[in-house]
Amino acid sequence: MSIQIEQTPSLTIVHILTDSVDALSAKEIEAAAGQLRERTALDFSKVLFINSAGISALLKLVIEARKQGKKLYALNVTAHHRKVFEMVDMLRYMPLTTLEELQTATT
Amino acid sequence: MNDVEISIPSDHVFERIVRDSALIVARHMGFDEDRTADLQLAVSEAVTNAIEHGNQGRIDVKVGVQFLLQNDRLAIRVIDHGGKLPPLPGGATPDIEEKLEDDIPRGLGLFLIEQLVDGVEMQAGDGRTEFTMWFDIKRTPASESASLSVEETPA
Repeated sequence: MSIQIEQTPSLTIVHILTDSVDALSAKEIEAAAGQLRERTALDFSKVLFINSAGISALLKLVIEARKQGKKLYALNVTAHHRKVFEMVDMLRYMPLTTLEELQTATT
Repeated sequence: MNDVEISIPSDHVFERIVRDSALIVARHMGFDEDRTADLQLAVSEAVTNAIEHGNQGRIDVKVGVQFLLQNDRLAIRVIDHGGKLPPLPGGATPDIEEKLEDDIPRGLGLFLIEQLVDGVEMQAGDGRTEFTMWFDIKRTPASESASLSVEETPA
């Protein structure tokens, strides 16, 4: 199992449990598309490696979120993954934030 | 020559072996954490490209990877049996908006390689493609774009 879904009253948190977001784990990560709510945060705290196949899986979530008019956020992203996300302009569609900021925004 | 050679079947499972090897080589070369992550990602992208596009996912066809440890740079050569040159995007940032509009989320690998390495060299011919990228030991500023050299030999 590559992901674990946590539902809070105002937010869905997709905890990515694999340390490698790549071609092998892409399908399970894409499956989170069926769990999107008004606001969904992807938790990257356990992720050590992301390649373009993994970014493609994340882009599919972005595409699905856009179709449904929902918002996607990224939590606990390492400095290197942030650099890579910036290279491909991902953060425009999946901004970095913290759980505290998301929870504050709902209160 | 302190070279390391690996040969893997064309399956994504084995790409992870190359990635782990890159980590060991990077530590041996004294790369810092960010540069090590750059190397692992670039190697992963080149091997993935060789598996999917070069060898067309035929598991019985091997992808060869050579880590060439030199005084002033680390070169990584990835060899497949496609015999075609991959199209480099030439540094142009992928249009994510277009990918979102068209539901086409792939095609970022070669772009990432161009951003991460200090140079790329390609040769193709006789049913074989050699994709070589290198990391300078004394790195030039990250803002400098990677140099490119492309050579296609007649089949």
